[in-house]
Amino acid sequence: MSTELSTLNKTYGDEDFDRFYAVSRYLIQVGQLHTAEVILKGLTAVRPDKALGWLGRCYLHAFQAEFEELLDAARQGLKAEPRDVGLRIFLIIGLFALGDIAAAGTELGEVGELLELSPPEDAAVYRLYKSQLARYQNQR
Amino acid sequence: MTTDRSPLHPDPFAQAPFFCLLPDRITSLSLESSRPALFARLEHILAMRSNTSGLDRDQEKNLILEEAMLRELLQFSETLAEQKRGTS
Repeated sequence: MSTELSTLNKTYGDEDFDRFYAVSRYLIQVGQLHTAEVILKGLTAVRPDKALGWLGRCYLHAFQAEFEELLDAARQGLKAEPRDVGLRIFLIIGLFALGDIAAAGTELGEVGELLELSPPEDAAVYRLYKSQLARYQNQR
Repeated sequence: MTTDRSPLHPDPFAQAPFFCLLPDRITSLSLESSRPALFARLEHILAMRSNTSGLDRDQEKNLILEEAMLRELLQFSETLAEQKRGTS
């Protein structure tokens, strides 16, 4: 039994994983949040080493104003992919919501550096970062 | 992403400002080629869950989460296939 479990994470290759994530993203897009959540929880259970599953869970937690859970999901994702800008922005959203302005400021600095090194393909990501930066400057 | 998305739905949830943080990399949502593997994996999990003596709590919890995920993916795949049949 333990041998079977040790191979469990290898059952889903990157291609399968990406396709299942795409399904969950689509379900979010059309408002089927519960179904998306079931898939994303499964994905993070079988492949906790992939940031995309955690990103999806962050979205759902942020959307449902579950900020403690949002922070937890973002931190789990960052263990897998420390340079993921999306996860860091979700972390910032959670930190602001829970009133930890100083930590949000630190994370904003990190995101700024990452964006300088590698500008996002989607300009909306940059705008979201700027909006969080403005929020920090207003609250400081 | 433009393929396999019929019928089209409004995207109210895509309007949340942080939706842009979810990358859109895959062009097809079809799970047709994955269905045999999904079924096989589901059967395997059901067999494992019928004898949980060798599993710790976390492992059992993960199997439950994986089983739920597989059922939803298979259901989604079936719905997509039905939509395709309906439009062809």
